[in-house]
Amino acid sequence: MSHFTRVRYESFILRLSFLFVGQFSLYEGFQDWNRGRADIHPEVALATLLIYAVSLFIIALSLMPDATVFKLKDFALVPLVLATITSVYVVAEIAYKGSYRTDVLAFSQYAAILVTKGLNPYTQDLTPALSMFAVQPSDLTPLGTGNYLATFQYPALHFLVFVPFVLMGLKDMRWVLVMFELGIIALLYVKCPENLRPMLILPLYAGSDLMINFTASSVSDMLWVLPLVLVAFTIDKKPKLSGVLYGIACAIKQPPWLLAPFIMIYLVRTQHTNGARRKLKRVVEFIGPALALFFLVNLPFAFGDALGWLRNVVTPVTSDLVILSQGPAVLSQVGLIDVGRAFYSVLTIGVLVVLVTNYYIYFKQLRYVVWILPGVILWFSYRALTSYVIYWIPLMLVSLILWYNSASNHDSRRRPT
Amino acid sequence: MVQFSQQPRQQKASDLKARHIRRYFATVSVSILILVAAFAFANLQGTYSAPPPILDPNFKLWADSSTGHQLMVWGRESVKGSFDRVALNETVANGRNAVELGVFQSGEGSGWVYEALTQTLDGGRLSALFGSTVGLWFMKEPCHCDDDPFNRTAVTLVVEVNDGTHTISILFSDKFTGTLTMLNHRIEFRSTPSGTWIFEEFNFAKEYASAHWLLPNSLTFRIIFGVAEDSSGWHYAYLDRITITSNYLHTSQGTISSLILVPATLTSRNSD
Repeated sequence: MSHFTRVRYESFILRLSFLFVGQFSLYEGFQDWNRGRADIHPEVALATLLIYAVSLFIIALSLMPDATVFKLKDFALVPLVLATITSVYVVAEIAYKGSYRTDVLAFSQYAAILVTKGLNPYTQDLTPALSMFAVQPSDLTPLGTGNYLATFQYPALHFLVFVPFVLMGLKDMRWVLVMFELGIIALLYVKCPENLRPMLILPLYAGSDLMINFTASSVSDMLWVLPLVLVAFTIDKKPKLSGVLYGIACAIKQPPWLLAPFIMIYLVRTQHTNGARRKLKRVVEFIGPALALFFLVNLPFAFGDALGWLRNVVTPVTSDLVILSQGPAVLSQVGLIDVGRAFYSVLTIGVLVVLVTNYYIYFKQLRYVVWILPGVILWFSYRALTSYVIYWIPLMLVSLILWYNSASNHDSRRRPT
Repeated sequence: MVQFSQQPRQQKASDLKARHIRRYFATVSVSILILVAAFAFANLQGTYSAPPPILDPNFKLWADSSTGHQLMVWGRESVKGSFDRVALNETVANGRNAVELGVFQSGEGSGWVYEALTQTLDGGRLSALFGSTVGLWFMKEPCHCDDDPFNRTAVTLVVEVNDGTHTISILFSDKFTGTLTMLNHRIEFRSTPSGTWIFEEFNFAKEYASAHWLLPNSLTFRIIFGVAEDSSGWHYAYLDRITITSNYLHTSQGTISSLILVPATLTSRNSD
């Protein structure tokens, strides 16, 4: 591709991105005006005005001269970030009136409060959190008996991360999730090759769920995505640091656990040597710090009641949670087939084994696909919610950057001098 | 010399082997997965556990709101006059943790005062309700209803399902038994003692069948405590918990409904 063609192509994609950003932000601005009752909330009216203004500006920008377009390419972040913050505010504080829409965040904040009082959340009944954060009955996690989950079912960092904010007096922990979200955007943007900005972050905004609605509804998965993004960026050159970051991700929530076999394969297969000892060393360099960090965070809470802690963190596997799925298990829910949890567990383990073995065999082809594989596995489980799949998208963007960089290096090596 | 010439040959053989593995591995592994899934599917038929028909059956989940200390999952309905009152409390009655349904009949209106706990069911939960026997532990006051269960002094505890067209009421009284079936309302009277904890079971699918009504797509389940106009003062009914027993037996041959196996025990007490 000639330089001229390449510039024109990049300019076209950039202009398309501006139109996407402008259109998305206008959409969110209108939603905020509507659900945020801009007629009675001055702050919503002002924020909506601002969103409309920057959206219109970037739409106009999309057909300005090349020099202007390239100079102002980073401006695309402004409408997106503004729309994200305003929409989360409007949904969380006005539409939901400050109530949490998942028991997860209510339990986590309450657990953080308990920790500040010197109590172990794993041994407490967390039911008071439900009225404290006005969780709606429809947002609870029912068990097969009709009772509800009222224990803390995640590793300790899931509530420890909120402790400083509880001590600072922050009332709504969704803003911590927004901080993690902005951290992910910033990291992707900084690490992204300049000619891919801002296109790279657009998939995050293909729909409002990932960056706005889920966070506003108190889905807490952004907490583990940020450390995993860092894992992906550091795994090749700094396996020890990457291990620590993986330990952090695993100490927040269970989904990153599913990555373990794939990461092991990645570490072994990306080592360009046949020496088993060197490969083992690289795996140990990663897994050692990861395990150390995980246990360092969790052991203080497991000391008093190790079995209780273990029972809680393996709740999704051992508890009598009802089938709830946007995956194949929905066929049981709707009554089309009559198989229960055991079948979906067999299916999930089978898919895990198939994907792990295929990842090993076809590593060359599947190397960068790794980050969506846990989402594929979870989709087959008896509880397969969209949030189990959608939060792997930022990781796929990291993979896209790494693939692009690797392909660029490959091309430059092949180019004749 | 021999060693030097063998090395590339070995390498070549191993490459060839790897290429062969790579060629078939994906197809073989996915085929095995499909076989395992099919085997599991065939052997795990009938293992689906429907969602619980009644949520929070132990009345454990309370929340403090602007309207006071309330059961979180259960809906609450009341019908009362200006001077009548209703109350809902957590308490201990005769040694059991219980929900206390309190009704204050002022006697100044002209009608009954009711308080009810409700849940609306559809989909899988409703199917599960019709596939189950529902039990209730409760303690009530004497009925004060002489020869008429709906006289002006009656104090009644009723379990009811209403699908918008048809209503089935199971009324606990001191002495009445039998069933009264009207066009869209079926009332079953059950003689139950007062002042002590009692356990009663209901099979709503069977009730619908007895009334020759089709099973509905949705319904509201209610536990109603009502006090007639001449029984002035506070009255209480206590609920301990609801039990759900599936009527379906899972066997290696599949699922058998106990509705087919068990004779209609409830209708034997009916007068219709």
